Amino acid sequence: MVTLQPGGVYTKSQLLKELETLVSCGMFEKVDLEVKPKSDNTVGLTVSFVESVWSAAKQFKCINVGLMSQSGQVDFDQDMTEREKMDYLRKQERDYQQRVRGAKPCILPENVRGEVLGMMKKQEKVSARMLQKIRDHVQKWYHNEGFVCAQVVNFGNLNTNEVVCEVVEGDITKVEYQFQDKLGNLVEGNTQIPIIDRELPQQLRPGHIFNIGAGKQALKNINSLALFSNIEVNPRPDETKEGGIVVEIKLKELEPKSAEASIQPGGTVSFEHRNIYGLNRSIVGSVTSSNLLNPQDDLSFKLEYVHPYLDGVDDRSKNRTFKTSCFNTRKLSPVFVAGPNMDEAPPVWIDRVGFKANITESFTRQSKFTYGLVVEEITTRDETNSICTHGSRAMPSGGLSMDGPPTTLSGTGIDRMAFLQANITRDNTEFVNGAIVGDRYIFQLDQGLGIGSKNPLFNRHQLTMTKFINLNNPEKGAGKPLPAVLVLHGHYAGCVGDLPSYDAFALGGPYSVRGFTNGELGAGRNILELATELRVPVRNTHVYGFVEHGTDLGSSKDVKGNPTEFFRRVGHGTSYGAGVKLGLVRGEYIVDHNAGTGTLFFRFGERF
Amino acid sequence: MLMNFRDWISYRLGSSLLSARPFALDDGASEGDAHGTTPNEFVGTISANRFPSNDSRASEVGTSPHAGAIHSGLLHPDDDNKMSDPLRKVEALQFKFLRLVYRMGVPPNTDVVAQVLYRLQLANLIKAGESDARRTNLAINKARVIAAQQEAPGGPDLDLPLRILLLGKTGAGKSATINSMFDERMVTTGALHPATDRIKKIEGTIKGLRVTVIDTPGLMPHYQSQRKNRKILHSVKRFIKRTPPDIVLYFERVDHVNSKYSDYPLLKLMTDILGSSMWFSTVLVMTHCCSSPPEGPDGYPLEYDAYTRYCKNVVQRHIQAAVSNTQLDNPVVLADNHPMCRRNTKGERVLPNGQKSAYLDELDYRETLYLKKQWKEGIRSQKLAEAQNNDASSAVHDDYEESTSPDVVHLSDMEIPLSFDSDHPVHRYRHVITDDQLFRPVLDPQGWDHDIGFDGINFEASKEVKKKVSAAVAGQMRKDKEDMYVQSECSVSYSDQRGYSASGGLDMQTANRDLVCTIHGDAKFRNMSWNATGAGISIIKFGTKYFTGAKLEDAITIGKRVQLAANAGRMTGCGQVAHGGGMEITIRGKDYPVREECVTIAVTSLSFEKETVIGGNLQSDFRVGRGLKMSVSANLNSRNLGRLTIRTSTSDHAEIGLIVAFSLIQFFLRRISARTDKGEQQSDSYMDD
Repeated sequence: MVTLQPGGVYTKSQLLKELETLVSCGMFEKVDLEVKPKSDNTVGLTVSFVESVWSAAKQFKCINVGLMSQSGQVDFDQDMTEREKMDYLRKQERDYQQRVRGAKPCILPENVRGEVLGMMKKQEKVSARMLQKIRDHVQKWYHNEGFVCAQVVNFGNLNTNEVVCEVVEGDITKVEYQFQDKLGNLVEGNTQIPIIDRELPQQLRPGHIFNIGAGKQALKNINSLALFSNIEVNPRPDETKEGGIVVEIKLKELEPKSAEASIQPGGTVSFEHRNIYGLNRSIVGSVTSSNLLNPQDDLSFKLEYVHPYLDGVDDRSKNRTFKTSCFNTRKLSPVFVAGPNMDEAPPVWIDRVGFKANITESFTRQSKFTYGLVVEEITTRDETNSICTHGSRAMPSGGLSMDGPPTTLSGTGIDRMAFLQANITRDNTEFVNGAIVGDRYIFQLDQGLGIGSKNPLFNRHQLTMTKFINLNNPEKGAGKPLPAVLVLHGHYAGCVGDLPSYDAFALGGPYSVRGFTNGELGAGRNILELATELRVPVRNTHVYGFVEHGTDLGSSKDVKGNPTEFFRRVGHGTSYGAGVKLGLVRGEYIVDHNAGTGTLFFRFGERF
Repeated sequence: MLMNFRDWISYRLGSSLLSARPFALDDGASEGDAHGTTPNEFVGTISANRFPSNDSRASEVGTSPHAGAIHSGLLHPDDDNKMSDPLRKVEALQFKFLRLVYRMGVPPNTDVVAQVLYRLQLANLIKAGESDARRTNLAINKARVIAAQQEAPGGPDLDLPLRILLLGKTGAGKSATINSMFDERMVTTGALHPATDRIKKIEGTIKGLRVTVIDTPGLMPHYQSQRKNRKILHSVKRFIKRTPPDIVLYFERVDHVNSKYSDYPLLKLMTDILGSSMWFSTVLVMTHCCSSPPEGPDGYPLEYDAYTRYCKNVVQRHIQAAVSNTQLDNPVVLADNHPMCRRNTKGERVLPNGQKSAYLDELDYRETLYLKKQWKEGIRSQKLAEAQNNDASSAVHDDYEESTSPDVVHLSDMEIPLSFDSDHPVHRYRHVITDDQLFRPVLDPQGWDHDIGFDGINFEASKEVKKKVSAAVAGQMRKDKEDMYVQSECSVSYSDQRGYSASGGLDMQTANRDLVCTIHGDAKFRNMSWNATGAGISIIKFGTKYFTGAKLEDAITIGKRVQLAANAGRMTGCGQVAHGGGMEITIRGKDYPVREECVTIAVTSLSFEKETVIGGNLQSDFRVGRGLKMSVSANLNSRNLGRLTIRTSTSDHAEIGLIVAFSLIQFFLRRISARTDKGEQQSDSYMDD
């Protein structure tokens, strides 16, 4: 407590002040400072004190005095008569009782209170040092729980049966938002406050006690809006209300508009306008082509509009986002792929161009329901970029057989269709010490409307179930070991009605049956995939072994032209292997059970 | 942040709340015995002086180049020294004032002039009595004529030495105003840190008037130490004791005045030390007037005039409170010293009427300065850290960084490319943030249908192996059942402060089924402060063939912004030899490391089997205005092959995005026209078969 340092130089007034603080701190009955000059021109300083001691107490109570006004202390007049003194003391006691009754209870749990009582029982009398220990104990609990603004300010009701511990817990009185420009000057923000306000966890709202964990959560949530380059969440004492905390949120906004062009003469032009009207709506677009002024078939484009808070920013019970996009893709079809015992088949490219509008309703961060409409035009092309109508394979003679399965429903190489689409994801997986544990169910549905080439009417449905079972339930916490996890996975996909071959379900591939290339096992109308994986923690990462199986359930023959048979694929397959996770990358050795050969793979991301 | 807050709260609670029934114990409290003595001892000398005695600030007298010219004016003493009659004095004053008015080019019938003349007249009347009213009236007209005559070329010099004292908070722009007044760089100014650290006397002439300006160090805002302010003000007082200033200019930034403005403590301190009389000759100078006014309650920017009036009122009110004289009304001058401040046709600076672009320009300029400062500080701290590391030789291990436990923070879901499927497998890419992001996915936009296409892996890692030795690995790879693709570079480099560096590396790349391996080694040393020489060798293995090469290079730095580099190399293998060489000149922009502006001109030549190709290359990065970055590169070689690339990115001119619309319309038009003659095309393709 003594702030004087050996070797320091102090004035008399400083010494007096030091003495005064020691006397007035309430811990001591009496404090003396004794200065002894020494031979080497220095002085020795002796602080002698008598510790304050109060009568023993059996009860302990903790109250939150955060937002209460200070108990007014009437000066104790030395000239008072005995009776006046008695009256004065009684009045003060009464006032204090009232104060204790009026105070909010603390969030201190019962077991901590019990611990404090235990500390008190050990001692006969309540001494200043014991109070100090209690203070440290109580404060330690608060700070460990993240209530960093909590502070024990006083002990009251001493000399009675019950010790009252007064705590300023750090009640939030207000949340303040500040926008800053690049240099940190205050500016008017573009973003509307309710957008940010939505993201605050309940615990960071006025009336709650400031918790650093809630602050971090808020930071994370606001960051996920992707509107700000810098976010700070700071607690600040409230000037207007003693003991209150103002949560100050400082934000630096990103530039809402930007455009980029790279012209040579082909190239990319992209633009984005984010945070329109300060409501986080955004338009993003880009075009890439080898000749922007006279675009050929290599043009790829993307236009996207996102409109969050469809039910209004203030409606916090619902979180629906409308999204519409217009784009094209150009990808290889896994349906027209040759089997393992055959020469490579000429690739079939699936060109899709169209638009998609959907509404996503978020139930939790991960569980979502998306529904909407898709309108697309599908063009199938061969290697030379010309439209092809049928798949082809290399003949043993060297020529190409063109009598493969038809690529499109219409047979012309171009299909147009509109259909409804839905996706329900129920995902309650969570990270336990860095490993995913929990369940995930995904149901996907495409419902044809009979609109388009050949009036396609179909129903495609897929159900994916994945369970991550925590086998040994280790203690949670940073730096704790990973749990051992057993993964069970099943995926069923089926189709009723018209099925163009590009939309048949392909078997094999990194997310279907590992160890095979995409479509290596076949393409069917109904497929079933089963997988299990056991993950064992080794040092800081997982080492795992797995078995996977996929089958077309004999439905390949129901696909037009039976591409499975045409490309000599078996229609089912099993693989097993072992691997290790290196961050987000998996390195795995997989044995293709059909052929009995093994290969090393590297993939980014999770399989499940 | 939190520690500070805790400190604050304990301090606050310790000082205010605890006074009633206090209980303030610091964690490091002495836990001695009941009668234990604290080990604190102190030396018996108690200094009564709060401040070190060397606080008297040396006043530095800056002699301006004009000083000689002005003093010559003193050789023609005016006859007004001989006058004893107060009436005559007033008349002489009139002369001077009118001459001043002429000199400044102010129309004689403006408010201020009229007012002063009226007051002089009033003084005359009081002194001379009613009877002389006519005489004085006449005198003014006469004085005007005389003044005009004297002002004519060849007339006597006007001797009106002016002493101006500048006071104001740091960063208000006192020194900058001096430079503006003399239209010359008389003193150094600093945009973001205090530039004036002592009282300075600057003498100069403005339109033939001898002006002495006393520049003072900036006062600290009131919430910081008043001690320093007191010290500054006391030294100012000492400085002006002998020669009191005629005018005091009190500076305040317009953009710092707001409803929360409270400099009362500072103004009060000034009044206490310099005396309240100082305020009677004070002119308020509102600087940074080019900044646009803030928005009013209705959301529109305030009127410029209304805003400055408001600012003036706020400051005036505080001054009145400090002097406790509500009658006091100080004149106000608006000023802006920024070089970007607009000038009118005569080259005089003009204040805007709340122009937003001026503010943004200013902001941009300041941002550049700020970034530069940050950059310099970064370098300095890095050097400092290095020096400390050398000193401590890592004996004292700083475990502060280690104690920060890795917080479990989930990234928001990764953006995945658009697709027409109902699948949206973001869950595959969820992960817990680890300290270093080693891997990133590589998107294959033309992957498999119904698949996202994150097929490749990009990796990048660097590590300091030992002091001065660092290793780095970077590259891309894809490993599937059938194909494997690797492109990687690993290198180990050594560098020391003397400018010597060496590096060795191994690059690998797959080409079809073969692996191309390159082993290379480089060494570079800075033999002079402006010259660095380097050499390197490399061996390339491609299949069973080997190629070896060597190169030599030299870089010369001219000044801070120009760099010249030249290199020459030779490569042999399979009985063939290739030679190459190049020269490159790079000119960097003024704000180079912060704003990446530079121009590079390069000439390369390559000779292989008696054939030589010479190529030229021009690359330029620059900014157009505030929010438009351009990068133009062009190259051309002796075979008349060339290429021009323009890249631009902007935040202001999003109109560039319209090219998207243009391309799309073209694309769809083409598709529609293609569809009509699709039948023909198909028959064509069959015929080809």
